[in-house]
Amino acid sequence: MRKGASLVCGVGLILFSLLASGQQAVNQNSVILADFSRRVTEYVKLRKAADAGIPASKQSNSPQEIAQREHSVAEKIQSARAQAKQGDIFSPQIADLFRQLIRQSLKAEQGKQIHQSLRHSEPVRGTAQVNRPYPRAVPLQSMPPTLLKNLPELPQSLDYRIINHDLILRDVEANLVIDIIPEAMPSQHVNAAQ
Amino acid sequence: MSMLPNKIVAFAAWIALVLCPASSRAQSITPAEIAKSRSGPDLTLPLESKSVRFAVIGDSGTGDAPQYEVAAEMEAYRKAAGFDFVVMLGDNIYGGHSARDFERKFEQPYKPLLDAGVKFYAALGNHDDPNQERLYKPFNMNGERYYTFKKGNVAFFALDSTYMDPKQLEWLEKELRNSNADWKLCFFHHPLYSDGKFHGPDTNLRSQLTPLFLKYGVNVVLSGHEHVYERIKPERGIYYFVLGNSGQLRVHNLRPSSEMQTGLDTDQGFMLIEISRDKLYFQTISRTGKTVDASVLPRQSKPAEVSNVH
Repeated sequence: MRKGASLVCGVGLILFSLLASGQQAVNQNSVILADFSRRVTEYVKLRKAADAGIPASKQSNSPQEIAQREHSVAEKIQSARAQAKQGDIFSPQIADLFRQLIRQSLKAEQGKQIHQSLRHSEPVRGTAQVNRPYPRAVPLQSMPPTLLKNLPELPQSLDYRIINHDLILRDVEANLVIDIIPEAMPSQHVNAAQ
Repeated sequence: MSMLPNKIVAFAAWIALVLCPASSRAQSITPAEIAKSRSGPDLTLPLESKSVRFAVIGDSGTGDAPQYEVAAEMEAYRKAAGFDFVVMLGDNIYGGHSARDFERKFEQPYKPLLDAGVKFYAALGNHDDPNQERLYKPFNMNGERYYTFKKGNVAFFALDSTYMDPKQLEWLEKELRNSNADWKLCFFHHPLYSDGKFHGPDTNLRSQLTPLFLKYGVNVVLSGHEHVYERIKPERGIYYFVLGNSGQLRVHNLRPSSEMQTGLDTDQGFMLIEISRDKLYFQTISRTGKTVDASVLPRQSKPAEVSNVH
């Protein structure tokens, strides 16, 4: 009887500690995600201030005019973030969580499709640098929808892209690399022809 | 159409591609084809009154001779068919995106069409610059990556398949749900079905889009990316076309499966579509003016059931 009671107690304790550690991990992730969201909001605020003196983007028959605005916005952001470095937004903790989220996506039911989608959409190679334009000669890697579903949502002005195995946070209108997570993607996906 | 998937043919095609510049390949037109082109377009569309008529191009923006030749053929057919808009399936401008690039890869080749008042509606491909192109007025994207417009009884949904995030999926569902058009046509760059060897289908995108297409009764899906033409046998009632050879071409790249109805992988081309009441007529025309596929498709009766789609 006493043996049975202690077994029940033991299992209960393990279950409790498992649940507690799971809950702790969830809480921890929520804190990290909230931190990411705060950093993104700060960037958007800075971007808005940098953008303030420039006429709003509008449709034009002149590609030159559109490009000119893009350059002006990019220059203002670059100078406002002159000290920007890798990890400003993707802190080590945030980067680790993103790597984990990507790994989970690739292991999930649709992981095979994500790998395939990345291969079929012409993987891109190039060098990206924080606070520099996304390389002009490099096409944008298409992002598999189920991978995007598993990453934190971004404001309209930002997107996620992949170069080599790195995940890039990009300012869409300024075509600027805001931050990078090196080796965010496992190596299998980059093996198709250009 | 040539479908000889043996290594000798593929090697010969590769040699031809490598040794012959695009301009010289473009000139290899047979006398019979020249005679045919002189006799005027060989139109199979019924040209019914009040129908919706448009042309389709994909992977067009190379700025090379074949793009110009396809464009010239389009103009000849415009005069005969009287279409007033063109749908672009992405990779509208390859490489650089300077003003000169837009001129050489879009404005010049399609000048006769633009001068005649033909409107272009673009979807984004992986070689496009989303920021530049969505704001470029002649692409009629209203400053958006994805958008919708209506012509007669047909609703068009231009999607950005390079970045199908949850926001876009939500938008698409809302727009499809609210649309009361008789025909719903989606167009975007990456094909959900394809027998092209180079890329193949995007099954991840398919898993997200097909349930919506089935639920809300999408009738037709047009995609590019694969540098060939292919008509897929109706998949769960939906008509799928791949047209990625209006400028680019990947010779002998089709590896036909049981899903393929017909295809073209030996020349560039474009499509003409006419929708009248409950019928869709189409004609696919090669760079040399040859009709390589044409048929009439009935409008599907009602949305198919949603179930697991892989």
